Amino acid sequence: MNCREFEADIVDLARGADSGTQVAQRLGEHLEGCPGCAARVERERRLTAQLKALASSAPESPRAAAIEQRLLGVFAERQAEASRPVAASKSVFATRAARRWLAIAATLLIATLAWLGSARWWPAREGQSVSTRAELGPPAPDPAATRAAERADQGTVAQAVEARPREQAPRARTGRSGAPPVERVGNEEVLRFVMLPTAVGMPGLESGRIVRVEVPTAMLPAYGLDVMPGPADGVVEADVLVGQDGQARAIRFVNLDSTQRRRQ
Amino acid sequence: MPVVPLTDRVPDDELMRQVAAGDGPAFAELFRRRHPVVFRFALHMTGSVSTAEDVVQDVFLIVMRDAVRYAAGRGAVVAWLCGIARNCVRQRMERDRRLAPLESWGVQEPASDEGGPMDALAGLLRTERIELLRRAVQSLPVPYREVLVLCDLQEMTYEDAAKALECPVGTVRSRLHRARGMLTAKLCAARDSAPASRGEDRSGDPAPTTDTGERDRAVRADGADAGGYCA
Repeated sequence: MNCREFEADIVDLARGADSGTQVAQRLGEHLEGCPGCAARVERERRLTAQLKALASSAPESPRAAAIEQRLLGVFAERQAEASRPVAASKSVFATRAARRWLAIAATLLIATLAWLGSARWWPAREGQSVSTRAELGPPAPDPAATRAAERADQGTVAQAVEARPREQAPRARTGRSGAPPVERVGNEEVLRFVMLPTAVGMPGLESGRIVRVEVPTAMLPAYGLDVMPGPADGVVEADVLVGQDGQARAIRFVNLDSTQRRRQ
Repeated sequence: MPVVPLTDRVPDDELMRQVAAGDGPAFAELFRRRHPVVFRFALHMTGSVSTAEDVVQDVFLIVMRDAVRYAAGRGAVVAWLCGIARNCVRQRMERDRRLAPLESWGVQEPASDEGGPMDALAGLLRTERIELLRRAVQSLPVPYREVLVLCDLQEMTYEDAAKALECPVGTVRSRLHRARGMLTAKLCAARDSAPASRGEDRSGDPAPTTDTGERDRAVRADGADAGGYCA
């Protein structure tokens, strides 16, 4: 019989693996008549013994106890997290509608923060600040602010400012509406107050003040205005109507040239 | 309800079920019982104690997460653990392939003088022989090393090794056969690379050599010879 047929069986025999009665019997008969394969079995047995010696010489893990403690800590934390009541959070976050409203709220919050972060607040100019009646008495002689405050007495900020009609923006962008109306206040040309998107749903304007700010020109498209060609870090002046709660309600731009006013 | 101590009488499958249910003591018992197997597998595969310990940690973190996915009827827990360890080892070897190991595990068997100088020499030779074998195992290609470590060093059955390695039993058997052949060839090559220096030592130079490399080669040759692996 060919010795090659028994090669794998010789390894099994040397390892002490069970290769079945029939195979063992045939292999035994072969080994009796084949000194080469018998010697091979002995060599494989010596290799097996050396491998066992190598296996038994392997050290134990020196940090096993520390690893066990760390793992048990992680296990306990995970179990604690898993056992926390999730009913409350599920009731808020479970429905798709709730998640949509949360996304909208987050977007509005981010827009507000971005706007507040980009505008450099100026101290109000003398004679132009319309502060709360309780604090500063009668409003300063700013006709536009006075009108806004008067209208604010009658209702919400949505009624107090000239909210831009939704259908007006597309027409303005196509250039069919022409330049928006401009009023003169003293030596300045001012546009109408436009309600800020973040003011939707806020309480009615009971009192307020106007704060002069600088707005980066890059922010103008957010208010429906063209970006004036020129330095990217340019600024334009604007008045922000701040309500009794400190929240910005509306904005109007001051001394814009006709190029910038075109799209409002 | 009486508290039943977790001992070796609780089968691994049952421990896994309890771990999946969030039982901390069951997890601790499983770790104590089976982390040596995972550690030794990773140690023989990587040659690094610290890497092997990292693998142990990775494996049991995965056990925490995936205990519910363990299917009792599809193989022994040890095989499942070694399968996870194998993947972790491979990932680490892939990640660290360009990094030289900071430390390497070496066989350290203190020589004893109790039986006289000849026994001490025999102990040193034995240690050297095992160290030579360890290095030869380390140099095997990964697929063959995995089979050899699981079947010959961990004494796992072909069936369990096949489960751990996700391959047929026949593949395990043929790879093991091939791995042992490669291992023998490496050990014999180590013997054949040394006789020149040993011959010089025996050729009559009375002064003992101070060259560490030559002495190492001589010991390696003796070690390989003493192993008796070569035809």
